[in-house]
Amino acid sequence: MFKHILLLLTLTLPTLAHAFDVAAALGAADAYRLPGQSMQLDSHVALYEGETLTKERDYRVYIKPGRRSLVLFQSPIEAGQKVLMVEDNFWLLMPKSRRPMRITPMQKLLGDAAAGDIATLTWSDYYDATLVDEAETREGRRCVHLSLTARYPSSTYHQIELWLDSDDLAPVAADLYVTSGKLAKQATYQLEAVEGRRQVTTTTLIDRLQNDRRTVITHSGLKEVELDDKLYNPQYLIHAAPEAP
Amino acid sequence: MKRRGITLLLGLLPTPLLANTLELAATPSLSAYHSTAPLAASDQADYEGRGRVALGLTMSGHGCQAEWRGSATREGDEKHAEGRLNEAFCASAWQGLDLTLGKRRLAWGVGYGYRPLDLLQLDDRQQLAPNPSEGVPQASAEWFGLSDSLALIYSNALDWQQNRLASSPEAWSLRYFHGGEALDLMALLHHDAARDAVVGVGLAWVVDDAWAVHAELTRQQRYTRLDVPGLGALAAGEQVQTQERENGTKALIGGQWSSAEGWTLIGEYWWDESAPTHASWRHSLDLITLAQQAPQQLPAGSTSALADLTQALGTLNQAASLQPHNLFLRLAYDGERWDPALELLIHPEDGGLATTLRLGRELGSAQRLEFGWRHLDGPADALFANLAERDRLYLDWQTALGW
Repeated sequence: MFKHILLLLTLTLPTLAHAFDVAAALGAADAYRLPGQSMQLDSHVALYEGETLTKERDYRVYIKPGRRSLVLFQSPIEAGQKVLMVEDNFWLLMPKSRRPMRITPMQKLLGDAAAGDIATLTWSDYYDATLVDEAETREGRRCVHLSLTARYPSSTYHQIELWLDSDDLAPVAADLYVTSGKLAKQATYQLEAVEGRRQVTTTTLIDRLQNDRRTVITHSGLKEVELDDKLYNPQYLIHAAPEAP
Repeated sequence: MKRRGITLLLGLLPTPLLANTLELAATPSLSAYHSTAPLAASDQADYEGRGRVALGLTMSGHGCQAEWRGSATREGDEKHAEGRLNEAFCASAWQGLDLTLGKRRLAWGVGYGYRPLDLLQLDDRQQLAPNPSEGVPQASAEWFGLSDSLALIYSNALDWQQNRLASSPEAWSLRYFHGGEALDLMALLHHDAARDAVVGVGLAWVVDDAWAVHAELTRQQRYTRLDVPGLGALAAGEQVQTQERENGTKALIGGQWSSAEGWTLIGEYWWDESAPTHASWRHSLDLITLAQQAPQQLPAGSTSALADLTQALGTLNQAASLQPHNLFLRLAYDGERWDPALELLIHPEDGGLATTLRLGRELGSAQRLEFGWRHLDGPADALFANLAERDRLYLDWQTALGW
């Protein structure tokens, strides 16, 4: 009997020792993109067709716990435009009318860069993850492969295949699938040291529905900013944007 | 003089605190007229070109915001230039309230083609070429919760809105909004001299990923409507008049569908009790046609009726409906390069149809080009078929700089 228990322990202990904590890994990967709870960041979006830069756009994003994001369009040609996302609810403000307008999850996907690409910077708040493989090679690095399924129907992508660096769980690449099951985009993440910590500073999205299109999102100015709750009220959108602290 | 004023204004403002945008737009347009249409002026040309160049300057900082717009327009042989402050307001917080004073856009409602709840701004939702609306002089106190808001607005149009709110320069509005799970609810209490009390409600409901419905309803204590009696009634002594009536209803119901590929379809029906009835339009056309073709057969009293009708037609509010029943359809595509849209405004009672085609394109990062064409048509007795302007084309080019 003792021999059987010893044999069982011998077989299972190494497995238990290597049990991979998927939730912790996803949280660690999130921290490379959004190191705090209530944050402000600037996103510069550059659209390429082939190697030609066709368009550039600037956005300021405010993120708050409770799946709340406020996107301010900063480029002069669309200045004053805002998108507010509160859980599964979305509103758009066009500056010439100053009338907040509710939009459907489908409409959130429209435009040069899907609002979710700019304003959804955590996976753990929106997706349930499972471990696919602990040792895959992606972008020439040894990676942990996670499969993420959207917790909410309004999520920009229904499923995400995510690869994290095996050494430090930094995001390396992701395949982004829409509800129809089509591979919409493939993302790669570039990290740099910012104020002493490694952060995702560039996200490159290759459009797989239109193969020659590439979007490069550069994140900067990341800082903790606690905005008043009323700024996430759709009717407040008609008020002036929050001023830089 | 105006340029010196702007320079002085810019000089007075502490520039590091400003977020500024400068817009430049050029909008040439061409109209084709049906010069023999009953509702055409006697000296109506067949074609007329217009050109407009506009400069917009938006500034914000320290809780204040201003938008100035200057434009130079050439219409036929006439030229005119104007500069106006579309918005200029400051906001401040006090005792949990947001207080705003100044000229501000106050559009409200959920409709696309028409908004019964938009009682203060009176945006013209059927405007063809883009032209930013002018704000309303107002003072407001607003309370914001997590998903609710309440706003008390006092507006005084003074002389700034001569053509729109002149008959009701002072207005009070209490607006309530609730943004719930997939559902926006709006409620309104309003008072002004022209309408007396108005109550209104609205909703926008996102049914699923792709579908949404919206509706608005207002009931106003007083309203005016143009009534034109038939030729027989004119002969019997009735008159063309803009009659004051009680308890008017305006209602809109609509839905929209969007696809992941970029298509959006909007369908709306609205009812406006203050619009001239189909019978009034038919009587108007009968009267004008007879005056043009056989003036000797006009019944007694027609001369003053014609004068009254001409005057009434000149004061019809552009933001209002031309007929009580209206059907609106819009199919738009958000493309990678081109953004086309087709809009149909249908008058079901007389079969009139206004078809609008728009085509937008962004040029690089800072320019936008928009082309539009509107054609009015319908059976011989339809209102749209009898308006002077049958076609209009426009091209709008915009660029913007920021600093």
